[in-house]
Formats: sequence, C-alpha cells, structure tokens
Amino acid sequence: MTSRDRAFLLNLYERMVLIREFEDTVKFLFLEGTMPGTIHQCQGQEATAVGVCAALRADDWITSTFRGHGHALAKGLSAQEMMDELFGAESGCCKGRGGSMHMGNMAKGMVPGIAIVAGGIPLATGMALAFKMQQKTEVVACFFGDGAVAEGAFHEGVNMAAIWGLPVVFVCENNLYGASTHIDLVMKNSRISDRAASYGFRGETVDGNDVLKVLDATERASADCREGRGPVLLELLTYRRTGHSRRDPCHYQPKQERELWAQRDPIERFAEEIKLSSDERELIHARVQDLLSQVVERAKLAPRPKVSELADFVFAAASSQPPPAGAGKPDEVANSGTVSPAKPARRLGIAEALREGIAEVMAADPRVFCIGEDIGVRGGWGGAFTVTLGLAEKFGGRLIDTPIAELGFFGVAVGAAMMGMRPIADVQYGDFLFLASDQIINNAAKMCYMSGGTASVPLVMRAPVGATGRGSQHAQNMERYFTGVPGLKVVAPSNAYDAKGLLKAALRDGNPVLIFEHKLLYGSKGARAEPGAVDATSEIPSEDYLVPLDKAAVRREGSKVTILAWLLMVHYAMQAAEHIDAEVIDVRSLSPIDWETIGTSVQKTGRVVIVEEGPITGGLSAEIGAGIAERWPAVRIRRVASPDVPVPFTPVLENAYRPDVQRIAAAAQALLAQEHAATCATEAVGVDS
Amino acid sequence: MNINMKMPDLATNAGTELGIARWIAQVGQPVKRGQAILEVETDKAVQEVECIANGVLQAIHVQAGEKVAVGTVIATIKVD
Repeated sequence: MTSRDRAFLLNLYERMVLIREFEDTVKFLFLEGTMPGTIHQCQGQEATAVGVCAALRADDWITSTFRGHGHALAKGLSAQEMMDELFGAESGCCKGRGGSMHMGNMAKGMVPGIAIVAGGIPLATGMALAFKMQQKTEVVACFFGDGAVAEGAFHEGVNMAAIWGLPVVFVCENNLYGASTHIDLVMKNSRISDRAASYGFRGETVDGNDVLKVLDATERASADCREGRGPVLLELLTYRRTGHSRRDPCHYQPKQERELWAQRDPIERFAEEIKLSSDERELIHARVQDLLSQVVERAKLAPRPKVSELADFVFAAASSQPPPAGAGKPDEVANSGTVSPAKPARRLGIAEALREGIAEVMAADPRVFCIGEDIGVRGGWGGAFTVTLGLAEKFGGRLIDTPIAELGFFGVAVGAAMMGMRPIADVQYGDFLFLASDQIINNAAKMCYMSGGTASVPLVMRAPVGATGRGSQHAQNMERYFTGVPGLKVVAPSNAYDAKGLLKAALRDGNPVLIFEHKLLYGSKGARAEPGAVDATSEIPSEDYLVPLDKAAVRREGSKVTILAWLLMVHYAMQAAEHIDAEVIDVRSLSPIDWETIGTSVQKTGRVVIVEEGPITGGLSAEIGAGIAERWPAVRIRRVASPDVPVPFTPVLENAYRPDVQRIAAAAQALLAQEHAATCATEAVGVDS
Repeated sequence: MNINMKMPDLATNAGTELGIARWIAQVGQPVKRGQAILEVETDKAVQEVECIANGVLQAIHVQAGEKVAVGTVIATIKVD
C-alpha cells in the first residue's frame, strides 16, 4: 500500500483540481467558439477517476467511455496531449483522429475511450483474459456509468470475467442519470453493486465523492484481482455537476438534488478532510492555472494533420515480429512453421485444412488461441462444423468455450488482441455475426484509426455462411454487411488450399480479418457432413505456405466472358463455364477487391457475369459492378443473384433461391449473344435473379 | 483590452439560430468569468450562458428577443 504522507494527499488534491480546471477551461473554449466538436464532461466526478487510478500500478490498464477526460488525466495522460487532441492537432494523443470521446494512450495504459455505452466492458474482460494467459499480474479497471448496466454488453462482459476469474475491477460511476434519464426509471433495484452476487463475485458500493474511500476500495479490489479472486464490481456514488454534453442545460436535475450534491463536492470535502491551508490551496491552483494557460496557447497553434494523410492509420502495418517474450508457454511441438515432418502433399477438405492450419499456428505462436461456442468441449463436436475437433486435447486452455454471448466474446477477443494475443473468434452460423457487429464494426475496425495508429487489433474471425435447409436465420450470406467497412479485411476461401493459406496470412496480418467459409464446402467426413456438398478439397503441401489476403485467383482461363464469383458460386461458375469460352475468377478477397486481376480479365473479355448467393439488391456484386463500370465503361455487366426474399426453408424454394449452374450459364450466354457494339451505352445493364 | 463574446454552439440541430431570451447582466456592470450573464433559447430549452472573462460588460450587440447564428458577436467585454 502506498504511504499516505502529506505529499501524497496533496498530490491527490492537485490531481482532482487539474481535472476540474481542465474541464472548466475546455468549457470556456467551447463557449468562445474556439474548440471544434462536442464535449462530455465530468465536473463533480473527480474523486472517482483520481481515487481509482491512484490505486493502480503504472503497468495496470484502464478502459473508459465518452466521458473520459477525468480518467485520462488521472491515469497520467498529459493535459497537453489531451488539449491538442481536443483541438484536432497532429500532436494529440490520438493524432487528432479520435477526439474527445476517444481519449487514450496505449503507452500510458489507457485504451482509447469506447463511445458506445457498455462497449468497453467486454473489451476489458478480454484484456484481463490476455493478462491471465500471459501470466501477468496486471489488472484492468473498467469505467462505465449507471446507464451501461442495462446494455447486454454489461451482462455478457461481467459474466465472462466471473466464470474465468479474471483480473477486472469493474468501476460503475453511478451519477444517477443515464444521459437525461434517472436511474429509477431504468432499473427496479438501483443498488448496482447487488448485481455482482448474481454472477458469483463481489460487489461493493462506495461514496464516490470521497477520494480516500475510492482509493481504499480500489486497492482492495486490485489486490483481490492480482491474487486470483477477481473480478470485483465497485459502484461509486457520485454526481455530474455539468451537462451530459455541452449543449445540455440539465433541466432534468432537480434544483434541490444539485444543491445537495454541491455540498458533497469531492474537491472541497477533501480540502477540509486534509485541512488544506490557504497557502497550499493557492500554490496548487496557481500551478494548475499556469499549466493550463500554457497548454491552451500551445494547443491553439499546434499543427493540424495534412489532408494528404486522411487515409493513414486505417490498418496497422503488417509486422513480421516474432511473438513477444513471456507471451505464454510455447507448445512442446516444434516452433518452426512446419509441423508435419517430410510428408507428401495430401488431399484435405476445408475443415481438415483449417484444423491443421490452426494446430500449426498454435504450436508455433503462443499468442494464438481460439474462442467460440462448443469449440473445445471434450467429447464434443469441435465447433458446428468439426473445424476444431481434437484440438483441445493438444492445446487445452487455448481453446476457450464461451457462453452463448456473441457480442460479449467478440468484444473479449478484441480486448485480448489489443493486449498482444492473436485470437481466432468464430460464430457457429454467420447469421449470429449481427449480435457481434458492434464489437466488430465499431470497435475492432475503428480502433487503429481512431487511436492515430497507436493501437491495433490483430483479430481473426471466422463465420460459416450459405443456405443449407435450416430456415432464414441460419442461412444468410453475410458478406455484404461486413465488406466496405474501413479497417476490416474480408476474405472468402472456396477451397481447402486457400482456406489454410488465408487463415495463416490473416493471423500474421496484425489487423481485423473476417474469414467467410461456406457450409457446403467444408467437405468434412463423418458425423456432421452436409448433404449435397460440393468438392472443395485440395492437395495440401507439407511445407508452410500463405495465400495473400488481397488477391483474387483466376480458376479457369478464357477469352469471351469473365465470370466473377466467391465461395460456393465459384464451383457452380466452373461447371457453367464448361462449354463456354469463359474466364472464371474466384474473387476471394472481398475487402479490398482485387481490381487489378479483375480489370485484366474484363478488359480482355469485355463482358462480365457477377454471381452472388444472396439477395440481388445491395449485395457485394453491386459494388463490384459499379467499380467495373466506372473503371472500364465499355464492359457489359450482368449480375446473377438470389431474389429479394429471406431464405425459404422448403427445399424446392431454397433451390430456386440459390443461383445455380443453369442461371449462370444462361447469363453468360445472354451476354455473348448481344452485339458488342461501341454504342452499348444506350442499352440497360441486364440483371438476372 | 476588449474581447468579443460570440453566440456559443448550443443548438442540438446544426444551422438552428439561437435566440437571446434575456440579458442577466447590464452594460457597465462588472462581470466575472463563469458568471451567468444571459439566457439563450436553444431548440431544446432556455439555457444560462456564462461570461468568458473577468472585466466590465462594455456593450451588448444583440438584444433580448433577437435570434442569431452561432458565432455572431453578441457582446463586448473590457477585460481587467
């Protein structure tokens, strides 16, 4: 425990004053019209941030929210880097890319704020999971408000921290209002700490305006976490003396309530408690004011980013770093990329090739682990399509079986990735990705950019797609919802060789990569083989190999018409091309699109059929069509896709829904039959569905 | 020296003009930074607006009842 001498106490006081004065200074800059954007301030809540952070070690971490200025200052970010960020300067903690709601500094143990309410909670659980797997003694303090406990992400995040005994101090700053809505309107039991017991861990309610009580409670909670008794939930009772945002006059806060809490102001109370002298008070306030005036002047003049750098930091640069020291116990199996000793190439299906690829990377890189439902259960299935069958016997705790909580465990995977692990997270059916989409799209895809490139998310995700007789909620082709998301790479292997090579490339890329697999292409033998499966097996070499993430592949050469397809449709396109002089391209990289390979082909043939399993409206084929039309306007374009209906169950309708070989061939023939005249501009682009 | 106080960006919906509901301080009155010196009517509510400097309220450029765009100079303060 830190010694609490006068210097320490004065330091706590000064840290609270710094937060108050920083927030008030920013308030006036906003009133003067010199500061862009909006701000969500924390005047009145200084003791929560300072008390919690003072109890943490320098190498502990915090996660924060859109109301994060106090947390950032308390954790040790400088007033200068924060003011620079608020002014949108290049020298800001997030290089001006994040702004007020995403304050953070990875070098100082603060993840950029997550502005989606409760979005940081599963993230913190994931960070703690990484610490446990890395055998570190760090803890993460996860800040959120009373409003967050209504979100599903709270439930899923704390539940997983509980079942795995993770070192998270969940810090709920209960200031009685979620935005403008009083807590009694949104929960029946408004003693938030009571909830911890229902998850099987310890919760405590603390006077959040008493900095020493907050400090004591956090010291106890972090000791519990470090000694394997985590997580802990601390409910800190406090009050916001400023608006929800700067455009909020707080008329929903009754005057009496405001006055009552003003009398419990954390800074004044502490000044009284430690008998602050007027000399000490003057000295500290003058020092803080001086600092802030200098900080503001410098921030106003700090250079802004160049427009030419707008697209920087979308992705982390690919690294070929070896795993960090102490990243985890290396497996006993050989450390090189090659696991199978001199074997000839074997023919494997996609499920088998993925299983082999996962085993090889897990053996070579202790940072890699798998997280998903039913993936490691002994006597279980190895996931919904047998991909992880048997791996738990070799890799034990590195196959993590989760509760049914996709939003939660994808968030956990994001957090673990941010702390240096290399997770592979999967959903059993692609349709379930919708549940996880906040963590994938709002967190994983944006974190590198909004942190100014200082944080990265080396997360691989896998999802099976396609219609297989299970009804509309287990049948969607999900590619269209996740392509064109800046910061997210998307690939789709149509065969076993590509599946293994793309998986390995994805794990080395250091960015969020979503791998779509098709349920009918797994080609697994045994208990879970799908009826009507197409042969997607390949010869798999024994040497290590990669397949580049951003390239399409020409599967069949031809000269009269190009057929673009991915996943199952590649196989149907190959069949359709049998009696046509067609060039079949496996699009394979869905984000980004490989315009070079596609362009070379369509410029040669002048005609393209784009095949997509999924509704014709708003699919990826539309994006590809538009991209071809604007680059090579003379090319005739036709799409073959499903009608705009949810996937029907009854086999006769499901088969009509799914594009088939006949429809693809007919579209190609129709294009070939048309005159390839230079005046094609007057003809409408045909579609077939 | 004099500084200008501008209509702050308090509107919920961009482009909305903001109205001066009433002036709490009068011309010639000493004012302090943080002191509420006028009430502004936004699209959400009537909100108090604090003075941005210590000094004397030198001039009022927009009267109660008038509506102006964000950034319009509404007052001048002679700074201490």
